[in-house]
Amino acid sequence: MSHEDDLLAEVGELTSTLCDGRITTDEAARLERLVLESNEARRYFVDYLDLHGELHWDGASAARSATEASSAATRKTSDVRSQASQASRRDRGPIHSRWWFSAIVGALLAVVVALVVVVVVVVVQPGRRPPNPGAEPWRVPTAPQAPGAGSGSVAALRDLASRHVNLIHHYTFEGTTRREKRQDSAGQLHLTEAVMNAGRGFGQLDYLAAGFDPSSQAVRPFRDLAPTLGNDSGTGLQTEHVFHPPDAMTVELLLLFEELPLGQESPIAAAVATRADERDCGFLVVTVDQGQLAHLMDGQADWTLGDFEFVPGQWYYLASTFRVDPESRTTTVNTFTANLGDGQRRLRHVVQDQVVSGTPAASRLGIGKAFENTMAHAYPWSGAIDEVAIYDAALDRETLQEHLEAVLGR
Amino acid sequence: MSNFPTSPDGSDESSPKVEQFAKLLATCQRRVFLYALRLLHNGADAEEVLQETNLVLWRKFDQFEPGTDFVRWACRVAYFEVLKLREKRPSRERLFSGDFVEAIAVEAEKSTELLDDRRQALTQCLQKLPQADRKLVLARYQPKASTRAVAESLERSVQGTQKSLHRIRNTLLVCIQRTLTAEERT
Repeated sequence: MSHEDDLLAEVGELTSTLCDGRITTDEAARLERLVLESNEARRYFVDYLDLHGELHWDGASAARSATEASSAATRKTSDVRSQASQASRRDRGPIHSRWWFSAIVGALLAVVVALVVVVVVVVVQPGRRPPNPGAEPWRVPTAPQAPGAGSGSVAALRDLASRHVNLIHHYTFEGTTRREKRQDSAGQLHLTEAVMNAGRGFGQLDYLAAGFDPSSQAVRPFRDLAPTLGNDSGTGLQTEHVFHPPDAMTVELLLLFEELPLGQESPIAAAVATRADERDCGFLVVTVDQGQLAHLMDGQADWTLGDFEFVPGQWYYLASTFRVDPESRTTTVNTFTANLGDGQRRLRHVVQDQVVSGTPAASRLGIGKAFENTMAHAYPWSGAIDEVAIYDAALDRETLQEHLEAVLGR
Repeated sequence: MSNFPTSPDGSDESSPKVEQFAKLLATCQRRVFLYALRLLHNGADAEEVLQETNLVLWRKFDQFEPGTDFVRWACRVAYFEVLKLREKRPSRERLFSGDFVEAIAVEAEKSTELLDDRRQALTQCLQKLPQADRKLVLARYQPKASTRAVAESLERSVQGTQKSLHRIRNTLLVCIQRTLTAEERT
């Protein structure tokens, strides 16, 4: 991410906090400094508040029109005082003490409200104005372009990945039948469905989930949202045979995390995972709590938490590299992410050279699920998954950046 | 006989002057509210300033020159009402400095002309939101709604709801900007 991108991202988050009435004094001081120091930040701040204001105004106008419509039938022109009190229902400020002045204002407000209702409900076609040369738009990363010549797409990433010399398994979820969608297009490690909760999973995998763009279909594992279930109730995918992780490996995918309901205790949602026994595991791409990225190779160790939390409802590009040291039985983990929904064009290095205890276990590979310490199916992913690619090399950042740009376009 | 009492200057308030004022006032309500919100960041405070501004505009309507920009005049009045409101509050309750408010007021004036275009783009962009997102943002902007209340009604975490709202607002902003850019090109 460029410095400007980081600046605007921070300004956006602080302004959102301000709009929600939760900003602290320190945060306000920080926001003030950022806005005063940068023209772009200042424009973004004003535009953000305008949007907040428009939404607030529309919500209030709808309520006002409903209120006025119900009181119009009982309004009497001779009772100016009752008009003033109805029209000033939303008045929270000081009222002028002279009754006749209040009466005039009340009557005017009633006229104004009626006119505002007319303005709001009638389609207005303002004349097109030339852009104000003094108000150049700020440069928040824009949403990705639709697929087309010269622009990015998931299909372009799929194509690029499929031609990589180190690709060993590729799950694109494309095809006509469910079986086709579960095929490994680079190897022979095809997927099968895995139903949790003792085979009584109450929902189905969705094979027709929308991908990040129209060039792709994704898969959406089923996760039971009941408070007492969730971690061990749902449906995911796993390989039909054992997956043997190479000593240098990259797991690359697109994924969308959906927020878990309150009440599910210690939720874990797995996108890509293995497990051989209680200790020997490979939680390669997993979230804990409400979308915090985590890795785990040793069931008796603590989670390795990335400096990163998924924003619910947003598609992400994510790539994790794993380098095993067989002597020390440790793994060095690096993870890169980019928020596709926000059009982040530069990868964020959210897990940097973390040395973790254990090495990725050899077992069936779970996609959209993992395994409990008893090896039962568990931890269904919350959201959608697409374009899972496994490489037998730790790809470098430049290559991964190229892959990201394949999705977003240059 | 008029239904309205007479004003201090003795004129009949059912005159064309009242009608003219009412028409002009109607055209500026939203703009003045948005202007006040940029400086105060709080919907309730912005509404209070709007109402005080309306009173002042009526009191000083004789000073308004017909044919000049009523909205601009109204916003200038609103600016001073914002300063008055800030002065009434203890300094510890003022989140931002006076310099900040002034800088935002200057910035706000640059983009006032685009407000109608942005509003129209917003209408289109709201329709493009996924249904769940549209529902969430409309629920948040019901009168007296708060992020916490919306989160509780949806049985979601407050933090997650806040993040979702920020994401949706950003999505709308990007969409508005792209819509305006596309319109400039055609």
